[in-house]
Amino acid sequence: MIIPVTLASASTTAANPKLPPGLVKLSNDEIVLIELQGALEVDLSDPTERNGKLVGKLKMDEATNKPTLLIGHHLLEGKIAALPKPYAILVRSGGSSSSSASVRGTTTAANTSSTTSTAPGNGDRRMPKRTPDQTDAESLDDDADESMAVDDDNNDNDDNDNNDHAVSLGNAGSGSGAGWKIAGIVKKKIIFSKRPMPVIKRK
Amino acid sequence: MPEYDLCFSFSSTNEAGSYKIIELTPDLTTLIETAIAKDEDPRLSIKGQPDEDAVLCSSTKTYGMRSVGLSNTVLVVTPVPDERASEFAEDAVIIRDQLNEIIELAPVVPKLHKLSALIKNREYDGDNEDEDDDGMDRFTYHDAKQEIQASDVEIDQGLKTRRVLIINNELRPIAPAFLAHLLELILNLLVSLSMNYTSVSVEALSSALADDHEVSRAVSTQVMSWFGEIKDAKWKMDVDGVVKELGLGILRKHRHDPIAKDDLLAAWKKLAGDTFEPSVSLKLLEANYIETIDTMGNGASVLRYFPASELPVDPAARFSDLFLTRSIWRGEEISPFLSDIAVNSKERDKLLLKYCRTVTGPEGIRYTARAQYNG
Repeated sequence: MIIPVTLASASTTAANPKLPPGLVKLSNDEIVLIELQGALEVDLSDPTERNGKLVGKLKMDEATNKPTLLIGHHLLEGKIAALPKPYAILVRSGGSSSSSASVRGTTTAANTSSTTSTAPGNGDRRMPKRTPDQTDAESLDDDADESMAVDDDNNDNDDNDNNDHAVSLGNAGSGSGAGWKIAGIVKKKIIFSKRPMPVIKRK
Repeated sequence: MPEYDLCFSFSSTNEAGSYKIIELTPDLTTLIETAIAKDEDPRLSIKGQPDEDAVLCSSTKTYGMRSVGLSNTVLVVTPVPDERASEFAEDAVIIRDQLNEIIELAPVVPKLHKLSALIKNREYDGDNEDEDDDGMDRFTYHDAKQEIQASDVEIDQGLKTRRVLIINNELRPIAPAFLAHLLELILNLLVSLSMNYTSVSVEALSSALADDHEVSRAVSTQVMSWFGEIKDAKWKMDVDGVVKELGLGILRKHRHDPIAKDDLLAAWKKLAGDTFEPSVSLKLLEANYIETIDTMGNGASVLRYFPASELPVDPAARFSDLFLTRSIWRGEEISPFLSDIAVNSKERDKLLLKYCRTVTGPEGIRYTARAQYNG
């Protein structure tokens, strides 16, 4: 089984909106990585409620180059850190949004974190919002034409066979012939590693 | 001070799980950046069957993928796409995904052993069989590219080193005896047609083989490409490669009955002929033999056929086999048997460190098994 990893074509990339000026100079003009200790926990009855909702205000102090994030009554101070090795950000392209990909391998425990709540979003990864159907396979032929590693025969033949297997690569990657696109390469990240400070907003 | 609204994506539930972060090696970074700059396809793909560990292949190299968990959460944040801009504030950025793991890449040896296992029943030894073969599954070159976890260049290289022919679109390993016979024919023809081995006319040689010895041109051309370079219809023979194969032909008969080193060298030189005799050297047969002192006879060195290619690929199993064959090894004796499972000498040293116990003696450093039981 081959899953192609492609680049977005230059024309579509040029058309994408860019990050606001303060963030664009970080490393990639379309993606920024923000690392938090712990995770974002939202109190919801329905997971879709958080779509489009404000999380907080991200400020970038141009003078000192220090980012701050204000979430509710908490102010997080952070810094811009260079990544030891550049990261490629891959986004699933084509196929349905079924369960998330999990690559087998050993996991290493890193440093301890201050807050360890898990976002309810994690649970949603198991729930497909759209059921995979045959039409997805057809629409992917366009993607397949651009990517060199997969030919059209492979897409059609493998469609139903692989959906049942426990896949080391994501389920969506197999059956519907989905591939991954490299959204960009990132060399720096914003990391908020200090304890949040409570702030009181003045009226 | 610029301030931006950080929001959840408009379809965060749908997008959750659709991003992945891969930590790149320096050469991959350059590869991707050049591809972005030139708007070319980087020719990367992830290969693997559902039950195998995934690998990332470029056109020339293979990288193993390992998932590393993070205790921190990484948010992938992008600007708002134009079609949704109205729903957000002017300078808003949205969280597309929250990730807790990163995929690390490490260069690995291409996993070609599967190839040998899949085609070993289809050896080619010169007999022309019928086309319609009782519906047996043929493993084609295309199948190899789909199923073998290696880059294209590595697959091609692997087919050459493992002496696999492509006949009627099927991959078939050449029978060793047939290969030895072919090489002898070629060497004889070079002499009889007085061709210079550095520049042989491909057409002349393959015609002679086809007409007088019924060797198909497809086969002879492929064999020539394994043992040298074909450029502008001229074949430049790789002398060491041919001489090595001749030596292996003799050695293969001594899997169980050792042959005295001097006897082997003598027979080998005779086979190579005057022109190539200087190239005959035991070093060419590295990783294919075990040398012992014949205590029963006159104390001379004897050699036994012991190819690295038949040893297990998994390091633990391989070391177990090596130490069963001989309980203590010198560094330079054991290293050749590790070169096909270690990417470079640093990796090889790591394997030695992990699986062997070092014994420093009057003869220098030697290696012995670490565990006393067969685990």
